[in-house]
Amino acid sequence: MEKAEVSLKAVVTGLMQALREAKLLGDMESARLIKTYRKSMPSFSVPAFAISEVEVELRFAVAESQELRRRGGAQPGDIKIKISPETLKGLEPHQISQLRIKFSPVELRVFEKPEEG
Amino acid sequence: MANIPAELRSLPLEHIVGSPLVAAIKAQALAAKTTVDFIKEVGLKPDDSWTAVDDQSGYEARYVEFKFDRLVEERDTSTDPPTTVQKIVPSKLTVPMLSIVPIPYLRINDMTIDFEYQIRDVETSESTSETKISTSAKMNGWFYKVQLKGSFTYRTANKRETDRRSTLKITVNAVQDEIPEGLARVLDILSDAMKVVPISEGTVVTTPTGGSGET
Repeated sequence: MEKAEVSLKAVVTGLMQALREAKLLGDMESARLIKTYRKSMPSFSVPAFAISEVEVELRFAVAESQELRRRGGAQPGDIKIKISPETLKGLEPHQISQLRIKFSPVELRVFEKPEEG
Repeated sequence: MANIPAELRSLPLEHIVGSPLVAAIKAQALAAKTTVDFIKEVGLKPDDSWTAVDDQSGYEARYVEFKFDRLVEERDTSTDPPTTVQKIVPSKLTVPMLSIVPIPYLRINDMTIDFEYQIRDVETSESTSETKISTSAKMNGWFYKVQLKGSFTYRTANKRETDRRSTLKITVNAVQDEIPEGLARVLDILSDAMKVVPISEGTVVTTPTGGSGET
């Protein structure tokens, strides 16, 4: 069943996981080609791509359920939203929020112990 | 979700983003194979007289020969004063084919994927398990024994997102890439093999000039 309200946190997390898994799909394809390249095209480098930037525009309506009112409003980072197209279609433009998110890869940091003295 | 076509009902977002990525990698590999095929077909010819690595038949570089007339200046120092004559010498140039034809090698520089995605459903399941860590230490003379009982916290969120629209716009920018270093060295070696060989004696086209040879 389609849920009327979903967590914004879950949606953003889902987007990040999807991008990570998409990158993984690409990396797996590159890894699969390594053997072929070593055998047939040793001087060529195996193709591999990075996802440099992903821009997502999310349209949603903040849900005002009885549960949220009872708790005194939505908690930061745990906002319940409505995202189904049917729901958004029936709303006034001012009731629809728009969120733009840019995802970029971050290099893993290596922390080194500072030299003493 | 009754209106969503069945084939799109379970189309995950990671596949929508990942499939063009995989396609680009496959395309890049195909382009590299095309380059290798081009080199084998245009620049090389099979040579069964020797066997290369992996028991594959060897190849021989394909050469192309040109005949042309070369203008040569010859300085004769036996005369006094020394003279210089210009001669047209019919010559032959032997060139490895690979050194004179551009080798196609395309690289996908960047790829832009534009698409609209309607989130239909988000299913989140969270499971958290925690176990107490108990520690006991027992000292007995020279050694002590520590027994640890531990656990980890596992949290997972599973989502199912489906899409009704299937419009996807992909912009791929492919550029001619620099050839691989190994291939560049091969071409350098082949270029060094270029040689000009006179076919016959030349024909003098100018009268001898004296002095330093300047006309």
